[in-house]
Amino acid sequence: MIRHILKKDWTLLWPLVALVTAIQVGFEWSTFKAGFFSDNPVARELVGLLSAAWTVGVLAVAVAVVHEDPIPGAEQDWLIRPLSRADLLLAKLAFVAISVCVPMLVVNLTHALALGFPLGLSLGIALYKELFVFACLLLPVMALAAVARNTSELLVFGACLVVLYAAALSVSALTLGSSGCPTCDTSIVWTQHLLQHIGVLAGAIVILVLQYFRRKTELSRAVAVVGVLMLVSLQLPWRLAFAAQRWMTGAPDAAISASIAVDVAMVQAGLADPASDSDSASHRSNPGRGAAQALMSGDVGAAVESLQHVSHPHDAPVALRIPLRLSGLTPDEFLFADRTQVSVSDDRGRVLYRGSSARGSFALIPDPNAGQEPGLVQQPVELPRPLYDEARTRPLGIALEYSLTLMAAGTRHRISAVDGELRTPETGLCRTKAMANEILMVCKQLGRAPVCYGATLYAPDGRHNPEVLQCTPDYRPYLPSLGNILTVSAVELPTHDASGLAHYSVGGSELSNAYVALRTYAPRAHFTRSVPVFRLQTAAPVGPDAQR
Amino acid sequence: MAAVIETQGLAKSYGRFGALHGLDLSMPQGSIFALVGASGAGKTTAIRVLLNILTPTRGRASVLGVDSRSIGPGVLARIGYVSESQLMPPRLRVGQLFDFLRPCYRSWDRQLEQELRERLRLPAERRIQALSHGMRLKMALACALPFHPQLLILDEPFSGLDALTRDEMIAVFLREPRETSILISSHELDEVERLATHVAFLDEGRLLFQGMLEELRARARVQYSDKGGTDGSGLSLRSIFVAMVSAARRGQA
Repeated sequence: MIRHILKKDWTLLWPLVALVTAIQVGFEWSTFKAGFFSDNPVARELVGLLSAAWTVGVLAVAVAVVHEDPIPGAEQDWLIRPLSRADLLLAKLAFVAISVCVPMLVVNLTHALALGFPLGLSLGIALYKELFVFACLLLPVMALAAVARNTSELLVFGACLVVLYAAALSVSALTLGSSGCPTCDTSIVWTQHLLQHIGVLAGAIVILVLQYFRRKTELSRAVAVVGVLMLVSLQLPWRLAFAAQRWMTGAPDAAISASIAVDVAMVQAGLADPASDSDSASHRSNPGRGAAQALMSGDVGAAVESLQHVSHPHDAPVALRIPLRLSGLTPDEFLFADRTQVSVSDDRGRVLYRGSSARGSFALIPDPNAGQEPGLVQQPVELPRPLYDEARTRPLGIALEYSLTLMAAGTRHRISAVDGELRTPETGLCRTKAMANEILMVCKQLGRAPVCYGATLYAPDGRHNPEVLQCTPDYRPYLPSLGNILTVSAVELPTHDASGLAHYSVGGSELSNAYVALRTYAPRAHFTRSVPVFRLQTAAPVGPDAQR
Repeated sequence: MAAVIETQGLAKSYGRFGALHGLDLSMPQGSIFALVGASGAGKTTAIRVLLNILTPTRGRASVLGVDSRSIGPGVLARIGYVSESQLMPPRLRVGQLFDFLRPCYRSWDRQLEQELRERLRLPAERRIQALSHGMRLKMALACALPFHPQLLILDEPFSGLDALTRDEMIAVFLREPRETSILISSHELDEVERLATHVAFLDEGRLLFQGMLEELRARARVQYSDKGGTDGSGLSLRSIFVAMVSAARRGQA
């Protein structure tokens, strides 16, 4: 019976499938024609338009096939026909797989082969991506469609779920702040995303079973509502997520020699001047704009903080810079601070404050031009204003606890600075182009791209510009995008500063003979380090020695 | 005669509203059983419970010897169903719907299908959504008969039909062999009186009477003949129904 149901649905929906397939082909062609540097303006515009059209199209197919035989209601003809519910459900799933995933797989594979990627790798990644799209997007959409009689009802229900999600997110941000999402804006947020994907998939399967085998529409809708609330409320604790990342990466002893310590002598010189912190000044000068920008980018927590600046400007946090010394690293290694926890205690050891030092993950890269001993890094730390004021009158201790990642360089490669091409298993296919003020290098990789690129522009005689470190702090294993299987990374190597403030050794006419030395960095180990309590004013360390 | 449909204390509520209250129905095999009641009496609800489209709140029902809650493809392959509110796939053409249904039934008779399509003048290329109300009912009937169902359920099959179409449909389903049991739910009492061998009266979800039509007439002669000054032999089904419902409602009041 599956075949007959498929045939019936195909009879009704083939025009929609043909349209979506044409959109998919057009999208892939546009992406291919746009090339590495988006030179083709027509292709560039089409990519933007067709990306949205493709998303709407595939969702429309998934919804339409379910609504050909809707579940809620008592008047549908199929209810009184000898159709097995299992056959009906399998036919719908098969229809979506055949009409959406198969064409996508073909065009994605064709694109990858056209770029010269090997067939075996391309096919494997493409299959994995279609499975991911089916499980994480199409199946949940079909489940939602199954609780509605028609598209109008689905849109209303879907809108209610979106409003509920936004409301729950806002309540969480207002009441819990950043602690409501321990992994958000960090390099291991993928663990939370994966948990959510698994939750959504599980919920979709439950709903499909409830609907197709029991027709329990009210219960299914309740499952959807509870699921949305759990998406916000169920958050992986940081320690658990970081432990999972550690387990995945392995190599527990790779960072055994790495250490962080406070430069006590520099701390004795006094607290950082808050007025010199441009971020804090920006917050204070226009917190409302900051709130609007944060909301537009979906960062509710940052928006709430900015709004708090508006309502309580005198309580705005103060940014400090704590001088740290890094040691135990080779020249091919650096550290990524995935999370920094700050705790402030009084001289009796009572903890007055505990919080994160700054938003997001960032690289701890010593400044080579600071003119000081190597390994010095300025750690930004935000303290609530009242605490900062208190520190001026009585001694307070600060302790820092780091969750760190040791980034280690892989093999080195060379690519011509102008119109160069490089193909390696690590980087994928990279090309370079000379722009007005920089060399632009774009790499397209099948599956996951390197976390960090380190690129240096060299002249033939060995002179070079400073290394550009381009990092996307995200350690996720390959979780595909919906549209295609290629991950695009770009690195800009400046050759000229239009303002005249910066001067680059390599640039101008010698670029045609220049080359880019490229290396990729990958996470080698994840570990924690504690910086012992030190006094802000007197800088005499208190408490135990550094813990490992 | 064995019962093709049997219910015991069947009840169905929608929230606080009770649509059926303790229905004890028994439909003999081979009968033309009319389920009669005013609009909103619970006829359609009862049928949907029997077909496992709705779940009963209380009680039990069996259809063709199978508990109604367990009715699946095996039993549905022996039941034909026609309803005025039946939603067939609107964008399918008439011919395409037959193409889809044919493989669903092992006992599908193509010759009978062809006869029905010709007799009811169903246009193969027209989409179902473009059919008139009468044509759609004829379409539903043509889809309910070719597999020689053991039980044919007709829910308000005459609603909104002209006399010609009505007679056409009656002629078609009366052609069914005597082994086919027919359940007709309707408030068109004149039509029902012509066709039914058994009748059940439903009012506000309660069963007022069920039995053979002749039994009903005999009972009515006894009960109502002294009220109208007649001997009751001229009482129509309509007048018997009205009298019975009025008496029941007076009794409740």
